[in-house]
Amino acid sequence: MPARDIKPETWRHILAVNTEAALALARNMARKRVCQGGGSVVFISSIMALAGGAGSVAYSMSKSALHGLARSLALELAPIGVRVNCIAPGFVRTPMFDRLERGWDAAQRDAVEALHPLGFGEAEDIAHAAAFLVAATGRWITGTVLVVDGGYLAK
Amino acid sequence: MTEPETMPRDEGCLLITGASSGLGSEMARRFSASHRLILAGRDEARLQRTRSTCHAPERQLIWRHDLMDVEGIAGQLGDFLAINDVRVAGLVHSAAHLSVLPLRSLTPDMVLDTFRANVFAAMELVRTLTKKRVNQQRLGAVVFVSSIASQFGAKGFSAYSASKGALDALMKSLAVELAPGVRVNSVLPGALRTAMTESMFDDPGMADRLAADYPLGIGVPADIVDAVEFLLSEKARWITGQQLVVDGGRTTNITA
Repeated sequence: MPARDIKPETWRHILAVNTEAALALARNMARKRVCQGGGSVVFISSIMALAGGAGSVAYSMSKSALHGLARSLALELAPIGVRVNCIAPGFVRTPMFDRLERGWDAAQRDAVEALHPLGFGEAEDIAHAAAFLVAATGRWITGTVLVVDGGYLAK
Repeated sequence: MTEPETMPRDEGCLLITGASSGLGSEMARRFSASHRLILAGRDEARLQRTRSTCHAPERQLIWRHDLMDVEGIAGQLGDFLAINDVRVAGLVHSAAHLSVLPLRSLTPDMVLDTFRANVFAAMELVRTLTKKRVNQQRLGAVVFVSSIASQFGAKGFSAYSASKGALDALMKSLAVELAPGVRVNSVLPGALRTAMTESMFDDPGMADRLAADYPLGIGVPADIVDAVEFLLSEKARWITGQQLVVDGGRTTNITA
């Protein structure tokens, strides 16, 4: 939706779900007895947090705010051994993707896919990245963004 | 859908440069459990030592080559693969040249040496391994060991930083050019204690300052090995052209 048409209640809803809920949930990690012996938080952001697109102001704003949240929360929670990172996916075949796709004709769909050197992703690709960050394999990773986008942002 | 493989597709070898030192030898030890390796380095005796720490040492190959000789890579690696009748499915460029010197003390030759080992060799290795005649399109995944110095400045690091910045830019172009057949990514470690960085840690004041900048403390090679293994694996099949920062929070820390 173009910036001039978007209603305040719409962008507030998007921020509430995408960003504020993340803070409301993650700050509980710092409470006593919630995660003794360390822990790990992963926020799913988007390539829209790192690139822009006309009509995506609210989504883009909400997702890049997650990156800021993750950076400062990472510093705040490092002393108790809690790591905080983001995964920024490209276009992944999910129900949200299906809704987007219904608005495209075949040529538009192919054009979007062509923006990913490895094609569209699967939810499993993001799950593997999250598992890597959450597990001991990510023990020295905090405050970072892992982009999982089939090469979208590399070009 | 079947469970993903844990390492690159096919039965090709994994070629590790800088295999005789710090990070490279740690990767060799770990990856030898799942892979046949080609250990690349300058010093035969040190490569033998790395090999002796590997699983099934008798299976692991040694390619002795000084990467400063960039022009020799294509011919000598091609011959090596042909003689041993092996192909390479994964490449990890872990070799690096680091000399911490103020700008006024650097000479063009020193800068060129840094670029030869850190950048030109990486490019030539990938170029060689993507030649059909040499490697029969077996290469599936490449990981460059870059550094957070590719993103941020530090006194005395101008040549090293420039080379790692170039390495990451090379990585992105290769990722785009070689998709979808070959995935190319880098890992950007923060300060690790290895032989390459030991002199920085000899100075207790410096060691304390460094530790204070790292929210999760100073890293060890094993922290990086896990990230390299993930990027090489099929679990990362939709990741290409990325810089994965593994730095204990150093570059996020505004007080550092």
